[in-house]
Amino acid sequence: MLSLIRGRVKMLAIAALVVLLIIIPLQGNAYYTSVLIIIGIHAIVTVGLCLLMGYTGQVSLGQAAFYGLGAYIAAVLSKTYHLNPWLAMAVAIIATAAFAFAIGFPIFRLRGNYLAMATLGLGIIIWILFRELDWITGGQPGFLDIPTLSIGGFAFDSDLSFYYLVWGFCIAVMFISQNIVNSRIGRAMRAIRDSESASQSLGINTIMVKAKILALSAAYAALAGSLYAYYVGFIDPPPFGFLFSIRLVAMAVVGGLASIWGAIFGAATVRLLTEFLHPFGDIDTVLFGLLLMVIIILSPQGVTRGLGDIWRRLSRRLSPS
Amino acid sequence: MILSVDHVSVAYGKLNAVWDVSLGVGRGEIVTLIGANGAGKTTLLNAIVGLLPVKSGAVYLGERNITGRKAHKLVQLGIGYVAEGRGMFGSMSVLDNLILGAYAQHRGWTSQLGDAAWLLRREEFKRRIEHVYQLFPRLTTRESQKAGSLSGGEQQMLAIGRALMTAPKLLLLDEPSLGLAPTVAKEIFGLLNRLRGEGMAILLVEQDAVSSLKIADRGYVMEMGRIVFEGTAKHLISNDKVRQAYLGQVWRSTSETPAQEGRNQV
Repeated sequence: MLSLIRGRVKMLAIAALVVLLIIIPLQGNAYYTSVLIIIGIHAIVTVGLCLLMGYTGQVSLGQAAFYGLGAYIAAVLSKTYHLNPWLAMAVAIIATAAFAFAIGFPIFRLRGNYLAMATLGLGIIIWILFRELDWITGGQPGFLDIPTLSIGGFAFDSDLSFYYLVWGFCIAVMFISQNIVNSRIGRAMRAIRDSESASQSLGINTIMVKAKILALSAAYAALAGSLYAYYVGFIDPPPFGFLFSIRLVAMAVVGGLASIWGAIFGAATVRLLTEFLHPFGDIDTVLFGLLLMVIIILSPQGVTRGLGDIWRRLSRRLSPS
Repeated sequence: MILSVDHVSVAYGKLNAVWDVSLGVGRGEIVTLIGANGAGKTTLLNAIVGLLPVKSGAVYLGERNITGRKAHKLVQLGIGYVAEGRGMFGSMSVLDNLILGAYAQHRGWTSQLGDAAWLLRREEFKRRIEHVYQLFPRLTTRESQKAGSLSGGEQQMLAIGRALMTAPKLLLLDEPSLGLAPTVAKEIFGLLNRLRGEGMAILLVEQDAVSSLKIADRGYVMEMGRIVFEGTAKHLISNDKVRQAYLGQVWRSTSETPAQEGRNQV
């Protein structure tokens, strides 16, 4: 009964969120809309990281590389090779996922800190390739004039239309992920997180499951990356570097690692903090480091869960009995 | 024999932990493997279930050579493993733990769709879960509770129940009585007895040699990675050397079984 009520409350909260997301951009402030588009894009990457880190227990410090691969593959195919941007996006997602799946088999022989280092190294290598393969990627100066998405005669060239496109994708990704978490493979993911050898002795091919989830998270990241490229119309290496990988981990942790819908909250918090701290230069990175430490010490379940706990404690104290 | 281990050696790098071990477990038989800490019992079990590589020798399940197969493949062939420390999925409910036990049987593309796919195969699954609940009535009341919040004994029951969900022919248990109150341990041993009655082949690794020899049909004693004694449980209990080393003074009796060096048939 309790879980039924909790389920209802959750459905209501999600419905409220969707309504809110539909209404918000109608206020007309272009700056807010652009920030919300970026939050949506980051939330898509964060959900993938939550599946990988929160549910499967595997760290990735190289997620920005998959985001970058998605952006560059979509940009290069649609501009240089004049591929339809939707098709370029699909190729970017499939190619990035295939790459992640293949790299999953050697990389998941490692665990814990070693896995973190390996994914970190992978991220840095790919980032260097973005910068150095300048005849393909445009290198340091960047890659200009990326076409935008359109359906029939309708082009997603206004912030408002792109906003709905991004959040449409984001909500779809959330629902797909929620389903995955509740399915057979979702159980296998949590089993691997709790005890890898016990998972194996129940017939779970742990490396295969981990590689599949890495591929899925890479697919999400590539989707977000290509949306980013089409939205901004210009890409250069810095947004796909190591710092963004760390920021993604911060988003996942703030949202509550094992929480699909928390990812939106995490992405929004980290993005808004970045916006507020923009005038102070690079200090935001220091602050995210601190934020990560504080959250992991005080509320390892993430801020959303932590707030929920505080709310429950307060309501218990305030209730007359 | 359901399980035959044929001259198996297992090594961690260059260090041999199990030397040339042979043993067998038949249908409807409890075979116990006893020995001190570090004798190589767990290493041997891990090698049998494919969690560790076999250096030399062979492992057979029935007639089939299963040496070197990956752990997750062996489950489908009918090996259930209850590891030491239980390997609970602590953040998941008791029911989810049991559902995971049937993971290997729940295959095909429909399984990726989500919980609805379960309904398609519910009958077989239900039958199995009811069997587990029948064996461990206590788990029924704990169904939606997180496995991590169960008591030690309940966790052990869940670990065995979860292994039974794989529908094994052969069940391997590593120290199932470790850290349990004597009455709970007795309950677990009683259950193994019942499973034997259902035709299950059971290989039981225990430090509590007294309890395990009491319910076992046959036993093997391991020392420094080798099997040093083997025989029927009754004979092992009455063997002087085994008694002195593993059973304590309680079991001292007047019977005079000659003890030889090395490997003995008693």
